[in-house]
Amino acid sequence: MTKAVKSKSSSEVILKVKDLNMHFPVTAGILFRREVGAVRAVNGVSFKLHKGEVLGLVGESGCGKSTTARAILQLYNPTSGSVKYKHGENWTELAGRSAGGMRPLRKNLQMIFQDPYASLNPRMTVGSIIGEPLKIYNLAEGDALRRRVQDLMNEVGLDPRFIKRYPHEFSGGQRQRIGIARALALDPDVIFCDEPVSALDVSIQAQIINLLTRLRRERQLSYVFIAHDLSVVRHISDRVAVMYLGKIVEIAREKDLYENPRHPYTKALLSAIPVPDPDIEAKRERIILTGDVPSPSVERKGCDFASRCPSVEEQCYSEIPELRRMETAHYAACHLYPDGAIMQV
Amino acid sequence: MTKVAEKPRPGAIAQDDLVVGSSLFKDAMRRFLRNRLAVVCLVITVLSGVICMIPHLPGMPTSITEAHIITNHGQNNLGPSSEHWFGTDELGRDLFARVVYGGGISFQVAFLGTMVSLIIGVTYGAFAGYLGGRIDNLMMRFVDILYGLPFMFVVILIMTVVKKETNSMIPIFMALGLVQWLTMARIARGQVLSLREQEFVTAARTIGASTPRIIFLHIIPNLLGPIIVYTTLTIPGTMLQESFLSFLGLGIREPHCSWGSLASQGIQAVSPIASYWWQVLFPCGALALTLFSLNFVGDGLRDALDPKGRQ
Amino acid sequence: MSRKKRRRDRQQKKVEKRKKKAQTSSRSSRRQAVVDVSTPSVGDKGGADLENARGASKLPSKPTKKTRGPVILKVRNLRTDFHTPNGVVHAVQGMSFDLHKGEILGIVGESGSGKSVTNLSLMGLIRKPGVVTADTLEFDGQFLQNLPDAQMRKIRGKRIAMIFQDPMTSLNPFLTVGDQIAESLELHENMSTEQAIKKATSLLEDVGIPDPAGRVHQYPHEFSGGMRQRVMIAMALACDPEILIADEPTTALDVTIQAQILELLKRLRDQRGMAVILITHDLGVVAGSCDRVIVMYAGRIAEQNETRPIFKNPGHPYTAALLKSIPRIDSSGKGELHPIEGMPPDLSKTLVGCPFEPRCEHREASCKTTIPQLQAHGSTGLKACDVAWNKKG
Ligand SMILES: Nc1ncnc2c1ncn2[C@@H]1O[C@H](COP(=O)(O)OP(=O)(O)OP(=O)(O)O)[C@@H](O)[C@H]1O
Ligand SMILES: Nc1ncnc2c1ncn2[C@@H]1O[C@H](COP(=O)(O)OP(=O)(O)OP(=O)(O)O)[C@@H](O)[C@H]1O
Ligand code: SF4
Ligand SMILES: [Mg+2]
Ligand SMILES: [Mg+2]
Repeated sequence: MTKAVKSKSSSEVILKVKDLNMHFPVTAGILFRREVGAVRAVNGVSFKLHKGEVLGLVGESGCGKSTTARAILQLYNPTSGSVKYKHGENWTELAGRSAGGMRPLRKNLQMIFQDPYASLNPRMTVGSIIGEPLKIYNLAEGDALRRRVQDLMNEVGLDPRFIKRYPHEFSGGQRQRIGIARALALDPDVIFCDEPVSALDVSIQAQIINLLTRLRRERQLSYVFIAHDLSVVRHISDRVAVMYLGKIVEIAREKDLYENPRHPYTKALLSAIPVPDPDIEAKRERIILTGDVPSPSVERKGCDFASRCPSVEEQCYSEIPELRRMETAHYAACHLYPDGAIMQV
Repeated sequence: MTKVAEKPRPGAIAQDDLVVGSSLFKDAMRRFLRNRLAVVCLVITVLSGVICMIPHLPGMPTSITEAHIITNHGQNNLGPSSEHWFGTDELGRDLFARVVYGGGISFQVAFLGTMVSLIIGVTYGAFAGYLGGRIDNLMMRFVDILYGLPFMFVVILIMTVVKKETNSMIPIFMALGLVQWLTMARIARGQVLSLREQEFVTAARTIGASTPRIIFLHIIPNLLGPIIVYTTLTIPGTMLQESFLSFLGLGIREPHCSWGSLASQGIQAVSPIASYWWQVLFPCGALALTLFSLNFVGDGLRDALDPKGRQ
Repeated sequence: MSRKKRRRDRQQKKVEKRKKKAQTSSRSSRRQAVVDVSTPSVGDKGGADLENARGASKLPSKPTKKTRGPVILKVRNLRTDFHTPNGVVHAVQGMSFDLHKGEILGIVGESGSGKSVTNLSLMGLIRKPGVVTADTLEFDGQFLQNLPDAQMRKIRGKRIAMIFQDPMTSLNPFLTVGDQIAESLELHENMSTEQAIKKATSLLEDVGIPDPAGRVHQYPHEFSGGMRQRVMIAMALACDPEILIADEPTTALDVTIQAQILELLKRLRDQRGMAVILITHDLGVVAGSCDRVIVMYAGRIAEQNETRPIFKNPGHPYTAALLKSIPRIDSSGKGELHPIEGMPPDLSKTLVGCPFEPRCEHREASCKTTIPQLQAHGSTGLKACDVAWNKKG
């Protein structure tokens, strides 16, 4: 059994996200649109990403994981906040850049998508899909381009002979490999993986996870790995952030988070994950949450989780808890832990 | 450690053509060819189009081109015979020559008019849909306003202002195209609105593709299906509208003719006293046959281009 | 080669004979046949009887300590073919199993393994290019195979209910939730509208929706995904069905809400003695909620057993491979996962060997040429694998 050494991420920070907000306006009116409110999809997210590190991002559907990734990559224009990327020796601010201003930076920040069917242009061959980024940046042409594409296909485990085929001729797992090859083409530093395995069968899911792990080791990549499957996230991540309604409620090293969760939501979430072992399942105590996730378009004065929280206190309704230090590199935002220092980015 | 012979979903392709594979286009082609009626109609359309266009091509024998304007006194309103297959009109011109020649005009007007609407409409709609937000709102309100104007009024205005003395057909193409692009723009925009949310468009943005590149390389090729179908359905519409214009005397001027103008003359020639039925039957028959065929071709294409409708 | 052919011929003849018998024999003799099938306890008998048990429709199903009641649904040799222009897709290739009262039977397998088609076939919901055949489809003493449509409709919805994966599209957006639940009550139970709404309210309460009296008059869009799925369950429960078929009821939902729904299913089993078929691809869900499990592969049963031995002592290499391929939340192990390489077979090809053979790490030469039949595994299980790869088993 080959134990993949959990690659030690260096302490060098390459991405800093501070107070990121992404509010989508809710409009009304037929002829003249006016804003009547906002969906607070991302509501004050802050974190650091180290070089060579995998940061898992988990949370329920609609909690803003994808929006966070897209706002960082400036695919949406964030409402406010700062995203700093270490480009060479200098820190570059990404927030507020125009499409043209982002272009030279996109090489370093890439993305892999959830839906292996929707994320590939059905009218392009595999060769032109993987080669497109190289063409856009004029990195290769003609034969050299073809050879680069075939190398990339080899690297992600696709037969280079398939270069002329169309995406619909591949299975879900193979399509996901095509998407990975496209992201790798520009030799990025950071890849945002937005639920790259959620749409795949378990047996194929494992192939893709192994591939991502190998690539990361070989190329010193950092991932922001989004998923709602906490087992997958635990397997691949060094650190994990738990999101609830557009906010990070807890962030810690993988082992700390899973073995010693602090935030009541993290606890409930972890207890709800089924374990494929009947003996453990029989013994586990489940925290069954009542109630549903409130709407992200309503502004709240207190803790977002208060309406479902089993340990709710009076303070929770009136005061927004901040991310505070629990132990080294472990932060949680909950009034049950009022003592630690507030997290700084 | 990679398995090469992984197979896509069962039944999608045969194991042998692993390397070459089949494109969506080839697939669509196969499905189209399986639809007998559509194929027959396509053959009819192409055949009649080719026959009608021959006299209009440079360097072709001019017998029909001449015959359709040569008036023969004493031979007016003759019924079909071996000399005049479709009979003659009230000026004694050979109706067969006129139907063939007029068909060429009708085809030209229909195709070029549709092309004009296609290029303007798709580009306009694709940009509006992709850019979205306020720009989209403005662009589409503009389309709505144009929609509100009575179509014939606009065309007649253009025709009377531009046309005046010239005998060129370009104003007709323009007039028809300028009106028809509105629907095309709406269709294109609707499709783009859903396409731009697709992840492959986002993916193109993350690799730094520019907006025109995304629109022309990623979005428009994916619009092709619905647009080709709509185009085949627009061509008959344009043909009809040209006929209508000619009917009003605003389209093709004498001595030239199109199917529409022939039909309108033919109808005037049908009276309780003397029914020169061939003057209505042949131009209308040709028009109707072509319209029917184009409609079936359009239907066939729609089914063929929809991969979900795999039969 | 010729041996294989002879064997196939023999099997075919057997099947035909059985079919004839099923058609002609009286009901009581059918019952007799049923007893025949379920008594041989394969585990402790020798080769001769085993050979007998290998016939596709014969399936020894032993009521075990955990399964609570008598058999309520008995399925033998269920086959579903789709006649497509690209060939015949054999989506279900001879499923045989029993469902007992008061148990949750899990069906797991990869996408495309035929889980949904199996259950749609049971309900008589397969449409045109699909053809369903079965030797026996017996529900509470009634044979469903050739039941007229009108009678099947009475069973469907009233005595066997079904819930689907997507709670967002399965509800009519123009009717209130109460009306939709009441509809089937008015249809099947001849209730007045007033009574039906009252019952609907209590059903909503049963499935754990807060403020049911107010909620009953709301429209589906006013409910969240988890609540809509609960409404679907309430609808399914309206006529007190004996069997509930749940096709991936939690796949579209979040884990915290999934936990609520699974708790609800277990409660219904315990309180009402309902039999549940729970289709899922999540082995964790199976481990936590099912009493018995069928593992499907390529339209066939790969393995069937009580839940615990499925996980602790799998009989089929496919089950073992599935278990090895998933990362686990309760271990920090960063080792490589063990994916199952390759793809499931093309269901339109005729099988000549074990369908899992190309991907199997325990395959032997004979796997390529003989289709393994279900055989005993341990004291409670059945597996479709001829290789003794698992030393424990
Ligand atoms: N373009 C948009 N316009 C308006 N609202 C949006 C838009 N995109 C996302 N939202 C809203 O923002 C919230 C967060 O969505 P997001 O897609 O980020 O969630 P997610 O965590 O990725 O969920 P999932 O696990 O389902 O992918 C949701 O309430 C969603 O409805
Ligand atoms: N109408 C149909 N025509 C042709 N083939 C079909 C049809 N319906 C289902 N199939 C095939 O039957 C097989 C079994 O499908 P089924 O939907 O039962 O899979 P499943 O196990 O439910 O998968 P999933 O987990 O994806 O829901 C598949 O290979 C599918 O392609
Ligand atoms: S702050 Fe209060 S409501 Fe929020 S998680 Fe902590 S205890 Fe629960
Ligand atoms: Mg998402
Ligand atoms: Mg299914």
